[in-house]
Amino acid sequence: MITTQNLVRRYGDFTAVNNVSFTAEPGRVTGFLGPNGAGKSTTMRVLTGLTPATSGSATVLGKPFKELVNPGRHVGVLLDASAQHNGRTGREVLMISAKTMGLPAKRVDHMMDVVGLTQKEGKRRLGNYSLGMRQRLGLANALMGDPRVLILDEPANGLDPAGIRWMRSLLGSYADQGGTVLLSSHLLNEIERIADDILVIGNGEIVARGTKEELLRPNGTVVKTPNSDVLTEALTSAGLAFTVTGDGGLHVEAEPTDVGVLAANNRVVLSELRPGDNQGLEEMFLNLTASNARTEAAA
Amino acid sequence: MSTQTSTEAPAEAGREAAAELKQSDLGPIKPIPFTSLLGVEFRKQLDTRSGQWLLIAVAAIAAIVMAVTIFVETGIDPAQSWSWMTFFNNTSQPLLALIPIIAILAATSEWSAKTAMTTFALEPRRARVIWAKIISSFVIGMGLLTFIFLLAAPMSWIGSMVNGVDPNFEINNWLVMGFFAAMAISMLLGSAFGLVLMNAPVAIVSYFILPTLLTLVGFLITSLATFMSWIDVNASILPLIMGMEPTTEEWQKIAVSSVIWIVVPIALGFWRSMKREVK
Repeated sequence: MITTQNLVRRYGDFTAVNNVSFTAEPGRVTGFLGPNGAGKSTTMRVLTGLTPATSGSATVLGKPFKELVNPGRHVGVLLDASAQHNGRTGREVLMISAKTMGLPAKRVDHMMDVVGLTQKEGKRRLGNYSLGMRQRLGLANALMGDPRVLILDEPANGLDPAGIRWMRSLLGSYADQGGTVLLSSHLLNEIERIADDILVIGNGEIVARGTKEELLRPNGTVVKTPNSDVLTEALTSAGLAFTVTGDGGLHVEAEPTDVGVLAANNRVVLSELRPGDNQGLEEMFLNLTASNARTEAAA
Repeated sequence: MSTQTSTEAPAEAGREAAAELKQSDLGPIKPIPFTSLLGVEFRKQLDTRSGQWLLIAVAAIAAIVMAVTIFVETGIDPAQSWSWMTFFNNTSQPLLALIPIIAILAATSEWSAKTAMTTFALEPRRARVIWAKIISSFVIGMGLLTFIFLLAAPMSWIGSMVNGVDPNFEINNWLVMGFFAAMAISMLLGSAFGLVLMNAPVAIVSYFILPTLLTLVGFLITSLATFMSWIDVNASILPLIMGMEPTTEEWQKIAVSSVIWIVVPIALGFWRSMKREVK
């Protein structure tokens, strides 16, 4: 379990994390979604004691990170897969962590097996690793101490589609076994596939939160018909609100079944009838990304 | 059918991986003893390419200097040309400058290579990690000098045989103790420069340039010469490796300049490392 309360981190005049409160529950994958520079990484660094908070509190398993005894055995952390010494071999990187946590060398070989790194790859220096291999190594490092909590910053970066699928099912199963997973991404569909709960962060603030079902619930119904005059009349008389979409269809604020029944009763032919896209989350996310892109262009 | 199997394979592998994680029992969770951190810091200094090249450079310089010493007669005192102390002295001189780089790299690499993110996530009490770095590089420096000291004896014997003189294994206590003291100061200096500057190239250049620059200032501005002689650590440790007991004033200069260049930067370095955001 991870909890933050009114977490604030300022850099001079700039507020990177503004009054962020959330809980990541055990048994669930919590996705931290936001455009680049929204404050995801800063929040994760504060959670792991690497960056001091300006105010507010952050606890993991009920304690501030710095008070955990042998934290690697409680919390697996992967914040930047490329933050490793390029002159060290992959296996050696894992050995260092194992020795720090007091784990035997055979755990290192086991972890390489788990993430699918061969012994031969383990003998190569990190300078020759692809980003995907570094992510696997980082994940092995995070999982090594058999932690109950995982904090992962953009873990899918650099993985190929099969790798992403592999990681998704690994983290899903890990959560099913009772683990807490907090992972970040700047890609909506990635979070959509992997997370049970979603936190959306923009400009340092949480702008939306909820279960995936709540946030991605279909929004109304999209319907298309060759005789839209009849349908719009029927919709109006049934008291259903609708808007005409750009491609000649209608977006109706009602369930698809209701719209279908209404169309059948009025003998209207339909060429399309489906649940509406969740404009809300996607649009909000696009707006966040766009405003961020503007700032970047201005800078 | 086959396509379905291949797309399902990674997901299946992921589930298996998660199941495998739960199979092993890692035993009870114990606090991290300082000896573990010490052992890890030892490893980190010797397991990278730069660490290994440094050791190779140390070995190469020792080999070259000892080989040259075997075949070259020093003019001052021919009887001393191939003594144990001559081999020890000749080899230790250049290594006294090179070996402290190990301490500099140990102190800076976490920040240069960004490994601090992993290190301090496993041990958030950063001061313990820094102490482990200082102590482990200190021990490595002393260990290498001990190795040179021991190696110098058989080399001296070979030199004596090649040149047909009687072996001279007489030990000059002040020379041996002085080199060990100078190495101790230099390793701590390396740690201090690394800790306070947190950047390997900057720390290495400063380590070599800054004290020399001070010597130069003292040389050019004669009114400052006395003052500089008290803060120039490079000059102040020289009496240690002359094979004679330093005078009281020399001891005082060693103490004063060491405090200035070791204690102050190490304290500053600790403070910076505690405060610095890791990213």
